[in-house]
Amino acid sequence: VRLRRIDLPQGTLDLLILRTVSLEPQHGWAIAERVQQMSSDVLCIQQGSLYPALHRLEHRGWIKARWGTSENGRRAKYYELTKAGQKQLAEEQETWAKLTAAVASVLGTS
Amino acid sequence: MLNDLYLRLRSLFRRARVDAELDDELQFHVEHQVGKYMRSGMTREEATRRVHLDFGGVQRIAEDCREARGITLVTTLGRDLHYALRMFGRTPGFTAIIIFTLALGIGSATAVFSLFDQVLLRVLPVRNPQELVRIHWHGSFSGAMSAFGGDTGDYYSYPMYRDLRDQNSVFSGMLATMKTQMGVAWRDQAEDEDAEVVSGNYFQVLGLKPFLGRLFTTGDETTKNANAVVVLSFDYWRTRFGASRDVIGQTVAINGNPFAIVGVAPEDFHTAIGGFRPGLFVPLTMVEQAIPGTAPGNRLENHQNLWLTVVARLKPGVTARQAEASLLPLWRALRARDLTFYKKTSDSFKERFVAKSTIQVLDDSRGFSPKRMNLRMPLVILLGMAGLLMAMCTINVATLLLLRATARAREMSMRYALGARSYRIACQLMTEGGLLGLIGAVGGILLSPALAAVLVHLMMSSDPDSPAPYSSHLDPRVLVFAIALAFAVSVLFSVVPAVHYMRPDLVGAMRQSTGTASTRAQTFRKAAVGVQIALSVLLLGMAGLFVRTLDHMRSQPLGFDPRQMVTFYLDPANSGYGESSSSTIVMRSLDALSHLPGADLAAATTDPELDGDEEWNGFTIQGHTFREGESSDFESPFITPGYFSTLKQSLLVGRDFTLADAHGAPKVAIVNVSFAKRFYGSAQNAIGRVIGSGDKPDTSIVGVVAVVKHENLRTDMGPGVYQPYLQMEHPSGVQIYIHATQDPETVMRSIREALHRLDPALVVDGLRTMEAQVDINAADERTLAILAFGFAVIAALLAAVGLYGVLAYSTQSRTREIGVRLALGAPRFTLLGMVVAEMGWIAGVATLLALPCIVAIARVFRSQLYGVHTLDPLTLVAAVALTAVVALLAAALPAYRAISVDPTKALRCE
Repeated sequence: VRLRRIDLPQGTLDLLILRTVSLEPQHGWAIAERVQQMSSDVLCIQQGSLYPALHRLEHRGWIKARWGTSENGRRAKYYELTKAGQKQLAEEQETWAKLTAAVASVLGTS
Repeated sequence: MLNDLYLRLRSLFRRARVDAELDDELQFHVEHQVGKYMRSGMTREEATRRVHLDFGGVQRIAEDCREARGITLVTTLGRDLHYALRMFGRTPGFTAIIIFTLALGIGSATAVFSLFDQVLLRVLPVRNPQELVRIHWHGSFSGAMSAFGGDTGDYYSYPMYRDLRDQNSVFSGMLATMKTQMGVAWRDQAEDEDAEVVSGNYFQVLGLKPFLGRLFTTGDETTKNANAVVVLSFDYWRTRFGASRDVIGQTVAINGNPFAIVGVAPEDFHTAIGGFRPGLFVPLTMVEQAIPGTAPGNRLENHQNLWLTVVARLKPGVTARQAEASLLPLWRALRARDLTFYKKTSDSFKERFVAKSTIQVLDDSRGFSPKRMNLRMPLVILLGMAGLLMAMCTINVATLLLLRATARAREMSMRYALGARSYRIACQLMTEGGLLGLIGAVGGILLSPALAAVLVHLMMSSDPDSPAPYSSHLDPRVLVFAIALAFAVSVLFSVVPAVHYMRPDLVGAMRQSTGTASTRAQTFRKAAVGVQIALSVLLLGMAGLFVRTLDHMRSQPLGFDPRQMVTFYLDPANSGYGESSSSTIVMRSLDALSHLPGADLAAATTDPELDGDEEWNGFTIQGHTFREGESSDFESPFITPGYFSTLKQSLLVGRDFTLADAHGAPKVAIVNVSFAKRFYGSAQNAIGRVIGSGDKPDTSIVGVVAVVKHENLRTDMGPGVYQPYLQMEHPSGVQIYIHATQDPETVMRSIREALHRLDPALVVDGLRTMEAQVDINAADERTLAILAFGFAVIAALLAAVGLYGVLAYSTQSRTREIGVRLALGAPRFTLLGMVVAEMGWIAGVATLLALPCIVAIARVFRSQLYGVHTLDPLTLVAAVALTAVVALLAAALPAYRAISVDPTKALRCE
């Protein structure tokens, strides 16, 4: 069965990135891969928007970056969640849960 | 917060490092993705291609990342500035033209505004100037008046001033002042100085503190001749008294009378009269010493002698309208009292004098100034011209920038193709424009004091004896104006190329190396050139009207001959002479002067020719009853024998005065032909008729002379009565005229010496040739003509530059087309026609639009013109012809290029 890939709804990219790096520090490519895997290939991060988003989140202080060595021995930039990022993630998860529940109930009653 | 700052600073100062890291990060991603695709079975080439398709432009992502870090504004600005400077360096000539154009436009607009601000906008440097008002009255009047401009309604008698001041309930204070000149002797040096005769409360009402000593109080305005004190202006104290603090308490001789110096006025204060720079202030109770013998009657007691200007300070919270309403009953009561001083009056005169008389309370925060009224129109015209010039500069720079932007079409398209966003390109263009505007503004601000100095000099040439009351220095207000102007203009001219490149024709531009312009840009360029040509025709036309006015003024017959004539003012009263000895010293001076080497005739009058003043007296005419409303006041000079032969003014009938026509002899008069025709029908008929000054006819007319231009070059003297100076009851100062048989300059050098031999105290004032006096009288017209012409020439040059730019560009971009036509056998002449036709069409439309504008605008300032119709064909033709010549010159080079295109080269260069 060929799945149709869905472009990310506005505002969810930050949430997905925060969630992904909350598991363990990751570099950019791995973050994109991980999101695609975890969503069973449904969600696809546009590569052109991934890096600006990472830099934006870093600038806001929700994630921080450090240079490490990747599995194939190359220098790579790893992102990890900060304290502020954890708080932000919790808030966004809650908002997201409320939103989806609300949307679901509206769709369910119609 | 700290982390944020660290990131920002790192991004700012270690941009290279941060950019390298970013590249590294993106490269890492690309490699991983390629690896992933290869694992799924693609070849390396396929995988790499796929990744780049997925990714979009790497540069663009890098740009977005930088932006996400929030530092781009500063860094991109820095980069844009750097790039802009490099662009300027690559095209120095082009950049210099733009900067020069801007500096010229901003500089001249700033200079004109500086003058405009000082003359028309600036308030007096006193406490709460917005509370100051001037009271203007309307109603009939008969009596004497000493004015320095404005009309009767601006002047008051001393009793009227005093009663208004003491009985009103709306003013917290009310001062009176009169502008005059006084002979000041200090340490054996005598000179005439501008001065003010003021009420005791003058400085109190204005709210001023002394710089030194004390200022006047109401205690300095007690009784006639009792207040021999003087306050010096700061500037006069510094220049004439060497800024010595010891002068307080010392005595200075004013018109030969001792006055004690009591204080020095504050540094920035000059006067309550706008645009005047008096050196001294004297209490008005001292008017007999301060202004000796100039008007009959006692100025302090006479209700029919108007000489004071009044400035009042409104009580807080009182509006001008409320003050008017409250003052009117008081005013009419005082007028009713004044009426009792008139001996015989008609009922309608009484009604107009009291019941119909009204007052107006007018804003006076900038000081009463007839000079300002005279300068208003010329300054408005100048500001308008400077505005038009600035508009032309802006259009010109916009056109030039657009041309350059077009030449950079390939560069821009390349940047788009590499992923630059249109707003980034717009930013780049705006930065370039802003930088040009900034440099232009600096240039303009540096240039404007010099231009303002020229303006001040030209504006003041009508009053060469007084120090210029206006400064050419830039004050903060004017600086703000210059900067705001530069900013507005920069935005305007940068927007044009920026908008042009918001949506470029990428493919087209990349394909054709010539970079064809979009039709939109081409239309803008044509319109811009059209507007510039129109403005240039407009300014040339206006300049033409002013030049014609000046020419007409200077070449018209005056009724006398100003050539070979030297003139100056001599007032014996300023050197301590009384009424009885004044005429003796005047006659002795004339005798000495007529015997100077190189001079043959000398004569004097109390009513100088062409100095902007009139002197009127009331007359009775035997056999003529004046109708109600008919004026019995006529121009009334008192002259010495030989006056008409000295000035070469024609004596039509009868005889000149002789030395025998003196006190005790029968009173005689000579009238001008205008007077003779009006009352006796002809010059011949006037001889032997009897008139009189005052009520009794006791003066016989013995001669009739031609009419001259008297007050100024625009108007003939009306009916006038000349009387012998030797029969004058209160002899006053005289203007002396000396006819020279040699070079007038040589005569001028010996005059002071000759008078010094008679009496060292005599002051020679305003010594100049009569031709110089005529020039002074035409000074305002000449100033306007020179400035208008200057603006027009610059405008024509700007139009030429604009036209050249557009034609050069359009010819260049049609090189291929021209090449093809030539190759197909089109004669070069036709191609020349093609280029010229384009220009001719634009210029033609522009001129047709401009011509009616000239006539329309000329109607607005008709008051400034003289002897020339607003629809002056010569001016219009000359304006069009001059513009045509300039346009042809501008078109010559592009046209030459067009016809010298080598078809083989033009076709090969693709």
